[in-house]
Amino acid sequence: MIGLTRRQILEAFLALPVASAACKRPAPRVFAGEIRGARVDVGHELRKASRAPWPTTPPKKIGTAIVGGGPSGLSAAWRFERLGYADYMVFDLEERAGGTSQFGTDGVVPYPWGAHYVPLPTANNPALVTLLTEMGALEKPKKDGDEPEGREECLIRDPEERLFYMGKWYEGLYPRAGATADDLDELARFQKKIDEFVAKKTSDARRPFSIPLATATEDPAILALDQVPLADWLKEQNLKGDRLRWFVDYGCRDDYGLSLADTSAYAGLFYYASRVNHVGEETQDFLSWPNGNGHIVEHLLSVTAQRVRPSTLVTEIIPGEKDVRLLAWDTRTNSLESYVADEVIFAAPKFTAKHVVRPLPGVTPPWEQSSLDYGAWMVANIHLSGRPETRGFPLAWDNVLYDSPSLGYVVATHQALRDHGPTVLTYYYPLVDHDARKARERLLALTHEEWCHVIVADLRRAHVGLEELIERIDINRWGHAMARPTVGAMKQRLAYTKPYGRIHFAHSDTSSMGLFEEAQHWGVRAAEEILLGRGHPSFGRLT
Amino acid sequence: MVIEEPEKGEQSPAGLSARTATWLLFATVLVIATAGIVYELVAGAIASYVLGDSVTQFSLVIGVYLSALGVGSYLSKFIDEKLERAFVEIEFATALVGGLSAPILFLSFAYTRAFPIILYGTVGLVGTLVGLELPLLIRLLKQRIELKDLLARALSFDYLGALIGSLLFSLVLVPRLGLVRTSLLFGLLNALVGIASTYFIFSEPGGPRSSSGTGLRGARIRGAFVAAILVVCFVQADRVTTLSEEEIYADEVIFAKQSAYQRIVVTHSSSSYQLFLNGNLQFSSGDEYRYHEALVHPPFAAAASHRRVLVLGGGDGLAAREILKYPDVESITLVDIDPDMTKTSDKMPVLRSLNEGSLHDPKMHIVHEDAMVWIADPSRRDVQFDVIIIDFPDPNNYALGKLYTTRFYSLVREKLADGGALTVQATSPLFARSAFWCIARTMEAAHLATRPYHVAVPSFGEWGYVLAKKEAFEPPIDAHVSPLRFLDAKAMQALFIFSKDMSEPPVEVNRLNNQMLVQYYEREWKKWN
Repeated sequence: MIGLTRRQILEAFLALPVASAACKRPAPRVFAGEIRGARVDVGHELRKASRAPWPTTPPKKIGTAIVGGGPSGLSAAWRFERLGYADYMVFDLEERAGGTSQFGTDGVVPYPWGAHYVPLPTANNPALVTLLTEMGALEKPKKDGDEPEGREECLIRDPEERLFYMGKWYEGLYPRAGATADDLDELARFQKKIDEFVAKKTSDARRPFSIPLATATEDPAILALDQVPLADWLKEQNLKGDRLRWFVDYGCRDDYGLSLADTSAYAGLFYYASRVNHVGEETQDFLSWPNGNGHIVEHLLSVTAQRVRPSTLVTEIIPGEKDVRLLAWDTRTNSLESYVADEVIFAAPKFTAKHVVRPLPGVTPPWEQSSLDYGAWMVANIHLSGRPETRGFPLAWDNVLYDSPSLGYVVATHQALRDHGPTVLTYYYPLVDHDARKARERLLALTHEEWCHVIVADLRRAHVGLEELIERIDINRWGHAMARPTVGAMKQRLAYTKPYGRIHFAHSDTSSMGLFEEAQHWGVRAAEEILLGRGHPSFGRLT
Repeated sequence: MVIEEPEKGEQSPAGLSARTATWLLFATVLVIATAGIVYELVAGAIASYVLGDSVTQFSLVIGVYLSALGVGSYLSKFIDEKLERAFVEIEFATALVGGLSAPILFLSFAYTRAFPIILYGTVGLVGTLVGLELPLLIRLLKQRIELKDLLARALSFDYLGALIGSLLFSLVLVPRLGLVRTSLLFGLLNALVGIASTYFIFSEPGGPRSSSGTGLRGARIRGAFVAAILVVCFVQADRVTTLSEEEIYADEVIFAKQSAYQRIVVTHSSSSYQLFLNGNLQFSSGDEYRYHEALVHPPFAAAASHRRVLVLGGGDGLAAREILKYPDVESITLVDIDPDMTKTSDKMPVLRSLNEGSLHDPKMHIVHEDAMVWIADPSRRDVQFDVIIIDFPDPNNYALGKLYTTRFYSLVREKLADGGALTVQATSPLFARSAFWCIARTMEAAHLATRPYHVAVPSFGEWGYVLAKKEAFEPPIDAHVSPLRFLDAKAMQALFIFSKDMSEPPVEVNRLNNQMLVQYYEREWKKWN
């Protein structure tokens, strides 16, 4: 990217009209702030061919090693704790565990660095219901079997979302202003299609789309949607209008970091149909906290922190018949330690597995049967001294710009119920290139200053005088933010749903999509399978 | 396209070649066309700002403006002589009327009831003047250029100007300058075009040499005068906004301040003072005693003890004045978001004499914080109060709406001591019936026993409150404190009687995640405004 002009950068990231508008004004100021990201430097050590020699001291013995301290690994640890099993250890590369649910704070306002909400679970998902009940995020059920209800202060406060469209903010995400009868008819037909899926009878009598994914149907008629791009499916349904296509494309970018053309119809319909409980009902409400899903991670850590080793990279895993040996590198002391465990829960992203896990003799490793694709995201936290000016509908929790490749921003003070004074806007920008590697190159090519230009040029169309309010902009580059449910991805994941010797796989990418529910499901499931295998006293399963 | 070369050696008085003068005339077309469309857009935008319904306003303004252009073009045929002179004078007139159109429209909305007449009058006049310009220019130019070329070029510059004007207007002018300065800026451009054209327009080959030197000078002086007016207005544009705003208030504005949270305005009429926040009346000194006696004394009569009192909102200090009538009150905690509000109430003599200096009473502790944030702060979990008075502005936006939710009332309930009582100002049960009863039902959903009541306050109309306790209770029958001007035993008992037209309609509970109340409130007050 070296040698590109500001205008070319803005064109590449925001499209021509915004670039033209932004470049007519005087060059923008330089903003304070830093650029951060997952520890790429350390992570890349994994790729180095020359492996470090193992220490000669005898290995430490542990029951279960959990590799990766994101929501999935921490959920496995949480399940162990709740079932009274303490012979485990979580290894996490970062200084603070939490994966893509990390959060920050500037002393006044906490804010997310990645995942920032979960839809209210249905009674179908006992693992999440149990966790959220423990956190006090759900009302006490009036009687057994009631569908869970969110606590008022954890549900998203109204106004929930707004859209900047043709120079003005409007309530809701669908661009209703100026929509023709045909547009609205398309929207209604699309919603009817979704309802048909919610009600559809399947060959195994399970729901066509359900969270966690493991509870959804295996009916080939539904799974065939994995082979069709969502864009093609929309065309088949004769849904071709710009507004609906934008609306659905936004959903894909928001949940998966993928464009309409690259998302599988399965994943696209899953997004809409899995969150409706019964036909005709509203989609499930969202739960969120000022620091996003960082709030959940904090809770998980409050239960497990004493057995979490941060700043520690597991560089090698050697599965054996009776045990598994691990080599861990403490990045703070720069020392190597070896462990021997009965089982391993591999809860780090799968693309790292082939660099870390040695193949078992005679068994084809799952990574040779599967190639998952990971999306690149830029997330910025924009610290403001006050609230931005707005034309039309007032500031909401989620604020989306119609003709922007970004997803807009979430207001960190919204769930803290603070409506005046300083705030932080968390701005999300998924790079939705068809080729994930190219997206990653684009993500890493821009400097802090260049990313700031992109962000400010995008937002100041909707907020006159925004620059004067900005105190700093911190930027996080997520090179492998989440697995992308591209066409055919659902089939890929099957390789990881069974253990590989004594290695159980967790992580949201086991479902090929970056949802908290999937991360938790696979973590809890791995923990439960392991305890069953160890002959642990009987317990009620959550998965 | 070939431009006819003027014969060599011909020079205008300003020393310009005839070719340059021709180009300047086309540049003139471009500027006046840009200005023309900007005036039209300014009028359309102001009409939609103040009257709403932008589709109707824009289509009417565009229609009137275009037809006025036609009228102007037609009128041009009556100008036979001294075309240059006429053109220059029309430029100055356009500069004055078009340039001042935005301030005129804003002020007329504030000061008069004739806004639509002035709007369409201004639009018609500017349209007529702009409509005169182009035909005159074409006639001036036809002496030098063949008609075919002339029309092609003049009209294309005209339409190009329209494009430039509309792009500039939406992308640069309105966001950067605002409407008032935009119209003034283009007025100034028109004036400059008029002045400039005195230097190159008056000497065409074969054209009538009609103006004497003194006539020219006169025109230039008039132009300079018009330009000066516009420059002064441009510099003072902010005052226009203030002027037009202040006139929205019926009485003389004696204090106005924009705080970080709201616009605080105090007005004075012959017999009373009024406080407005963001344009909404908070009290009038003539009848506020009815409002504040009804706000404070029912909960005091219903509470078992009066030692610790919490006031949420109430930065005017008037509720505190009533509270201080009880000698057994030991402390008052007043939480108001806006330091400017409590400061004004304490420092401004008019307000200070009304609240009897209650805000600097030794029992008073003032906290400046959003009441929701204050009450949710876990560090204050164990603090409780015997009486809680909740006196927020009406729930006309989401930031205020959250202070009327089940979540908020649950937190308030935790702050209420056993046997304690609280009251909530709850808008008008007559004008906003659903909103009023929604507040009462919301409090009940937060496990409070409620007794809604109301009082007539002439400057507000019929006004409502909700009295509540944690325990079931009967409404109080008298206030045991003096001196009171309004509330005696009979008046107290009458508060709790609701007539048929204020009875309870079916309403939903107001929660953070639905904000029903803001919707009820907007819908119902719209009918009365």
